[in-house]
Amino acid sequence: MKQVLLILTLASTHAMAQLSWDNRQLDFHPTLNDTNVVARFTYKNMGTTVVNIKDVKVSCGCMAPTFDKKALGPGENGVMTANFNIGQRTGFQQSHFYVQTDDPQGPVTQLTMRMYLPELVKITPSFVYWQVGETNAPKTMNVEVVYASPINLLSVDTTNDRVFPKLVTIKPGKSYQIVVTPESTVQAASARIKIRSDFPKDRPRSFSARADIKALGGKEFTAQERTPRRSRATAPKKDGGT
Amino acid sequence: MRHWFQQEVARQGAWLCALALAPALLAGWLHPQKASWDPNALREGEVLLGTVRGWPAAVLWVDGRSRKEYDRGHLPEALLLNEDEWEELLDAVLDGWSPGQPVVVYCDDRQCQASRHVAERLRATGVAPVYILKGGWQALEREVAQGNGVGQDHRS
Repeated sequence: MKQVLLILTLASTHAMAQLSWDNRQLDFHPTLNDTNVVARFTYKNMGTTVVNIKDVKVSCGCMAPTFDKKALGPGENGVMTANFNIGQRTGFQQSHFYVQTDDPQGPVTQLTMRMYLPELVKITPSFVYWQVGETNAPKTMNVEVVYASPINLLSVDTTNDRVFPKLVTIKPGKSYQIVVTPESTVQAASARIKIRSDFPKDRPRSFSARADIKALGGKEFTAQERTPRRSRATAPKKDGGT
Repeated sequence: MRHWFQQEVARQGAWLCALALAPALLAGWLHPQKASWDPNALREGEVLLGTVRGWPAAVLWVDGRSRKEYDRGHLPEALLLNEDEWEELLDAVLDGWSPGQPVVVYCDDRQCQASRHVAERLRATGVAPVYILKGGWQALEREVAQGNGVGQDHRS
């Protein structure tokens, strides 16, 4: 058995990639005020020959990582930097990087960046609709505070004075409902509903929802409309595809 | 002596293979991102382009990539919706969608997660059904290059 373990150790040493990464997975917990997350993956050439980084692919298309050094001599270090723009993302986000080198022992390394972005409320559904002619029965949106601190919802406004949203408090700071009633469903209409909160104190946030009365007719998928129509893609520009 | 050595090498080689096989089989069976043997195998919520082409109803195409990629080339009927500009872009998608109309989100390629995020958020608003196009934009480009229709224009 000792011999087996010895061979196994030798085999695994031989199979070890030259490029060694300090961390293959980095976790981030940005705050509400952060607009981006910067990940730095450090690596070192543990081998005896030069290793070249040939390419990197990203799973989300939202980042373009950079390397401070792509050709590493024995013992040299480098850093791959990835800048993630939070944009209007919330909740858990995960991106993978696939780093390709000319090292035959470890041609591709997968790196992972995990982000737990702050999320304040969940509105389900955030879009309610009626069809033209449908009875104008009220529809309910549930608003749950998913942030660690309580968030009080103060009021709701609508951009359409024929659609009436009403804020109902279920549990202050934690759970609310917005009950939406259209004046009528005789004609198509759309309303954006703005929900004002008291959080954070310095710059209170608002949240959006929408209520529509959807037109019938062209969107009924009649027999003619069911006939497949041919469509074309726009040609990619000559400077490269996606 | 030589015979004994050969036997010993074979025996230990078999041990090594057996030792390597167990974790490999486990990873192949349990890994959350395991590769599929079938190129047409679908993950949850995915749909093949061929399937979409066979649907009788008009489809609302949503391009889940960045604005930069969208500007380089997209389906003419596709609406841009990404998480960089979610609030600004969502209204146009809700305007264009009709109750019951299938929504198909496409992204970069098989490894792109943006379309999955966009589809999940779109479903959470209350829009249904929402699908993710397997193969993404690359699948659409291939179809177009082959001269096939890729979908039905929802803007009838």
